[in-house]
Amino acid sequence: MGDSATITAPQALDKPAAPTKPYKEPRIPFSRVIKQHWLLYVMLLPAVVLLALFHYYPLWGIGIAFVNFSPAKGLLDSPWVGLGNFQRFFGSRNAINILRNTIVIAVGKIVLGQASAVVFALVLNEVRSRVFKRGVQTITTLPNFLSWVIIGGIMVTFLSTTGPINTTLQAIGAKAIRFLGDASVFPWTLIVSETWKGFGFGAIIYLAALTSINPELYEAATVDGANRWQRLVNITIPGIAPIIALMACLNLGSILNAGFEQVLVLYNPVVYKTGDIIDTFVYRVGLIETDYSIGTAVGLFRSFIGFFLIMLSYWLADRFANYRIF
Amino acid sequence: MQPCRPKGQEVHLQATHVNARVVGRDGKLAKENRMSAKLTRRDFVKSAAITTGMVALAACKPAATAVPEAPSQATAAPEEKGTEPTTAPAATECQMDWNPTYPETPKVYDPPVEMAVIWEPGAEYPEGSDRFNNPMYNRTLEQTHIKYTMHWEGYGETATSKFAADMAAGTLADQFNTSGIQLEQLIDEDMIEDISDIWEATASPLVKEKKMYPDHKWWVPAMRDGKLYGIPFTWGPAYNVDNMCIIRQDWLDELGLEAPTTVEGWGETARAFQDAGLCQFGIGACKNLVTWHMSLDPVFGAFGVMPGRWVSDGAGGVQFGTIAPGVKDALAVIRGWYEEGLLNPDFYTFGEGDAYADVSGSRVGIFASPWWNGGAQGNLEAENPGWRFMPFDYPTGPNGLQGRAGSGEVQALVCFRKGLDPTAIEAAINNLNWHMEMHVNWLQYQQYGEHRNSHAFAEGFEWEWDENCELKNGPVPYNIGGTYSYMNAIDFGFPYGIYPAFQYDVYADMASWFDQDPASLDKAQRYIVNKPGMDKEVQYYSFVYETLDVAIADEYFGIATDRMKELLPDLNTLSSEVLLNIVLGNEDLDRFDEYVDEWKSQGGDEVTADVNTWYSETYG
Repeated sequence: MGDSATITAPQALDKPAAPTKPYKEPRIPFSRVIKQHWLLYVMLLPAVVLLALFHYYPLWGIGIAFVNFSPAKGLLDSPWVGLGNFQRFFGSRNAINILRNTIVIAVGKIVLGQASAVVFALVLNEVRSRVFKRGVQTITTLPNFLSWVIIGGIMVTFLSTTGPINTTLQAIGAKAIRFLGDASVFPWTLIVSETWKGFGFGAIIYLAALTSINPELYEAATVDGANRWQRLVNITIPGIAPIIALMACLNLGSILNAGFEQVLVLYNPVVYKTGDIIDTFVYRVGLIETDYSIGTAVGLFRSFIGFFLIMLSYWLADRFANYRIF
Repeated sequence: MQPCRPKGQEVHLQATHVNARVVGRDGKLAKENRMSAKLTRRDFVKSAAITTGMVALAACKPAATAVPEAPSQATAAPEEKGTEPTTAPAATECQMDWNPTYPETPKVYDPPVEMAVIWEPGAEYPEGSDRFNNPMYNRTLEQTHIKYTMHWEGYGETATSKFAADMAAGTLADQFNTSGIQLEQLIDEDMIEDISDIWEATASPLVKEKKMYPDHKWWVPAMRDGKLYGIPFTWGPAYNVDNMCIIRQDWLDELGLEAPTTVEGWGETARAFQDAGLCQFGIGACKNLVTWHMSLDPVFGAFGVMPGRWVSDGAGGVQFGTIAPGVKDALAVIRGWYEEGLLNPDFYTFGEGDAYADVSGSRVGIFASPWWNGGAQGNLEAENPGWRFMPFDYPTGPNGLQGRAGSGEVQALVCFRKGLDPTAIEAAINNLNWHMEMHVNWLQYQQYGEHRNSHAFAEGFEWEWDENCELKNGPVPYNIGGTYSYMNAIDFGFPYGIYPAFQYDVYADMASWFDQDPASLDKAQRYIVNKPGMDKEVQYYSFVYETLDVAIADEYFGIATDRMKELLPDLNTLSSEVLLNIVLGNEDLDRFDEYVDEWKSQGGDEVTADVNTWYSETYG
């Protein structure tokens, strides 16, 4: 009987163990949370009050979009028009064109703006000299704080036929470009100038995110033989990917906000075809007669679309990337 | 932070370690710990102290009246005689050699009537005075017994929203200005007092005569069903934005030319300037072809048309000026100029102010600007010896016509809220009576502040003594933002809207001063005569007033109907787009004919019908 030589049949295995539930922390009752961290909630209270007072309470004013508002009558006594104000805007001959312009310009700004901010952050991150980094960051962030009225005035001169760009072009034999007078060039003028103005400020978030990537990962990758590009693609970009997703999601909400101040300062009737956005059109409507209703209606429409897009992008990220943005 | 995200796990943005220095009870530093550590009392006190300090800092703004705001506009007197003396000659040394008096107080109100009104912010007040204590305020209080109090202050958009809030809450100021659709809404809601009886009883014959009550068209918006809802203030037919043609006389002299008399002449003269190398372009223009400054309206007027204005159609109605056939001819001329390079190639990107830079930069020789720009031109002449700007007559077109865009005469109304004490309304009308008397007979009363935008001509404000006991600019001379605002705050357009010819009459009275021997004038007159650009302003305003017959004014001043509100934005967009594109050469001239058809079919006919309905109701 040499037992050691016998191979005992393995026992019938039990059914595979039921998959264990992922570990969930036991719920702490909310009252205990408050008791423990009451100071934090107290500090939060002013902001909540401010939000409630200035953002939630005025929401009743949405009613202005559905009436023919007369301040003298007040909201409740102004005649109801239902969707009439929206029809007035969308029934306008130029409505489709204006919407198209707004979306094209806004999407262009978001895409180019974010892309340039990311690239700039990545590039700046590679620089070793802190003095240089700080200097460049300061210089590139400064234009963000100047208003478009100032920059617009400078741009009108800068982009004029006798300005530096066109003089250079003419000197090398090319034709002068009407940056502010050619309907096909104008949206690009808007997009590129807005990008120039904002990429420094936009890069701040990405630079902050970059600092939060564990340096040990870089060291490990270097040890493994990864070159600069491989480190970028495999560590850096995935590291800031959540931030990029977050910024994209937030920016989607402002897709119908194409930058009123900038367009108003830079546009002229020659480029109405591609430069007229929702806000400038409503502005010109307002010049005919002070009309609170149509402004509110258009604003409401914008917020509605923006809200829908934010929810959509949140759901998409959650569903396909398992990433809860907030 | 992990670079890979296993499926099924939630990933949240994690804050990195927060270095909290926590000191335990034993006074020793605890280990670095994470955010979940309890905050100690010390941390809370520290952060609360910092927060309170920052809030206090942010909340402490300098009080509006304690620190005068910095003047936002450059001074208009670059050649101020000497610097401000640190110690002025003692006031008792210098004597006024004129004796200003006031008209008789129309009626005594004891105690003074109080009126809550809307103020403009940003006025400068010299030391020792403020909004409720300055010559303008004091004279209104002492002479006509009205005490203006603060309802609220605001300007521009802020003022519009505040006013709308007032309308909604029913808390209007006692006296305020309004026009257009706001006026309609207020009358509909019975929020404005009907002043017909008080006006009839109180307004002086002089006021009724000068303001042409009740027949003139500016009383039209004020009256409904025989009731009078306000007192129109009117800036005069030429006061506001009628343009004059201005040319560089020094260049004309250099080339031995005369000012052009025809539209072709404009082109020829501009070409001559350019060829002689005197200027880079020739004719000034901005993105709005017909506007209040740097406008091309004289060119359109020469063809008997005016874009943007509703003009008589010769059949008892009105039609929209932009679709008139003459516009095409005018566009052809302007288009030719642009092709030749007589207009700045970027003129369509310029607003009115930007376009003026071409004038001050000496890049154009012919342009159109309002009469009050004469002061600025006078300054340019003073800064650049040799420059001379001269007005010249409006160009004639092929049919010998002349024209310019006329300013609207109908402006806002001064209204009183419903329920205001009739005594207060009476006092306000008496104030107007008093003002009118003083203004019409300003030489008799020697009230020299009336020469421009009626203001209190007071020492320490408008003027000061210089070392020769002559007058020089004080801290708030009238043509600098400060006085303008503190004046606006008080007299609500009464002075410069008092009656149409008021500025013309005053300048006519003053015209002889420039020819007289300065020694025969009194000090105040000398001071005014020597104001830079004053002679130009007097000359210009007289010119523009005397050529009133060429003004093509807008005949329509009603409220847009709902249909118009729907259709007009698109029509206006179409109009401005087409006109400018034709001028720039992006479109052919024949596009204009297509445009006319488009304008009519895309709603222009409906709009014209509405406007004509209003016209026949108003004048029919």
